[in-house]
Amino acid sequence: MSDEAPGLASGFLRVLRRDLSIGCRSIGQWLNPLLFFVIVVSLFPLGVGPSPERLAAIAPGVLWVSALLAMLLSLDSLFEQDRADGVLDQFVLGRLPLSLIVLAKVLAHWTLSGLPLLVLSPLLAIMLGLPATALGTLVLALMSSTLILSLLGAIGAALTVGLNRSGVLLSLLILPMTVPVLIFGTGAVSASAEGYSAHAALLLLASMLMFALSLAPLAASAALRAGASAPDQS
Amino acid sequence: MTTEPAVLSCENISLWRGEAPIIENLSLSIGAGEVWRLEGENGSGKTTLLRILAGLVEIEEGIVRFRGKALPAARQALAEALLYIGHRPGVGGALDASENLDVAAAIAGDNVDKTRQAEILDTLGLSDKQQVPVAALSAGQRRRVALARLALEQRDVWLLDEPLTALDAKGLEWVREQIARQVSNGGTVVFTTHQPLDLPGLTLRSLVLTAPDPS
Repeated sequence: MSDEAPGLASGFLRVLRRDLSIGCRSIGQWLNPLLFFVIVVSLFPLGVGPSPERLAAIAPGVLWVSALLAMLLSLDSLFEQDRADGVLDQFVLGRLPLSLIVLAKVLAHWTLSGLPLLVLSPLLAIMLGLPATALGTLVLALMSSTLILSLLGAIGAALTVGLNRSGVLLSLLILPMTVPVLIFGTGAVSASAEGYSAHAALLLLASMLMFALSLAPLAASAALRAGASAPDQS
Repeated sequence: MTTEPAVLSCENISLWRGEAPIIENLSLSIGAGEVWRLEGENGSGKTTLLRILAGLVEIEEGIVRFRGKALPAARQALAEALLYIGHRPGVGGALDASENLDVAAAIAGDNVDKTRQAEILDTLGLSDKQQVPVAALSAGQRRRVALARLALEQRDVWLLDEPLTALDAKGLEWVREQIARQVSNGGTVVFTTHQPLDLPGLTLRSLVLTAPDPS
């Protein structure tokens, strides 16, 4: 108690590093969403036919919906293991602000399940026949969209932590909230593919990201606190 | 003359789960330097009471106070003083012992003291297990990793839920020493256990909880 407490940044980095190293040690956590993304995107040409014009037209929508679903796969486990280990109680009780811990966990989740999708998305976009001029917009818009989804997902994961089979409930809670992201994300890419400016849509996505970044950790930590009060279903 | 307010106190607290009462009209006052043992059958509400005292569970009636200030307003002050180790001890299986303690310190808002940490893990017989993921350790060793925090973090109030589960005689002796040290520093210990634990030289206060009659 006598020595000075460490800064918030060092606590934040330690939690971030913890989640990243746990994630890297289980291959499934980052490989499963990636494989899911690749497979779902690859199914579309088989389903709708290989006509290049049609594929190029639906490419943004296909990429977005597949990426959203791929990220949802890993979201329900965001707080689950911590709850089972009892670490979640320590999160709630510790001096490090809970919202900061949530933010660190969200960033770790995004790095493990969003970033790989982002890296692979230009390749899949080319496969679907999206013009190369739209690839820059695609990466920028998809980055904001996946970050927003991780943040929104944290609220859902915090609300459903400890419930049995929370995955479906989580999807039902989160997917309606992703509609704006879907509209502006695909809008940006379509505009850029047709040679128009994507600035407006990209800026709107960026402002949604800032909104989510500032409020989602607070909402998720409130949900976690309320959840700690619920009866224990071990 | 004003008396020092109790470290933790409950005034007529009640809590229900649906229709079933878990705790009914309980009052309790825990002072500095006191050791309390919560007793009672399974399901009598020991864990719930500890979680109420920690501020994790909100009660429906009554007041819980920390040093005279009511929770949840006193939550920040309590966080400064509290070390809570739950029935699930708060160690992550994929990480090894020292990584777990690093993270625990970060969450608690403490500095990480690597030398001290190595010393404690050595005393607990875990020095050769430092690189092993905690999931691969035995239940008793996992418990020891969690309990290492008793020696690492300086906190006034310890709330320990079944700290002795799966511990052997040496581990038990170590916990006994830690409790004695905590009390001699003027700290407070509240714990639950089903195992016999004698604390020579200390006054052990106990509270026997009984499951309230649902009728």
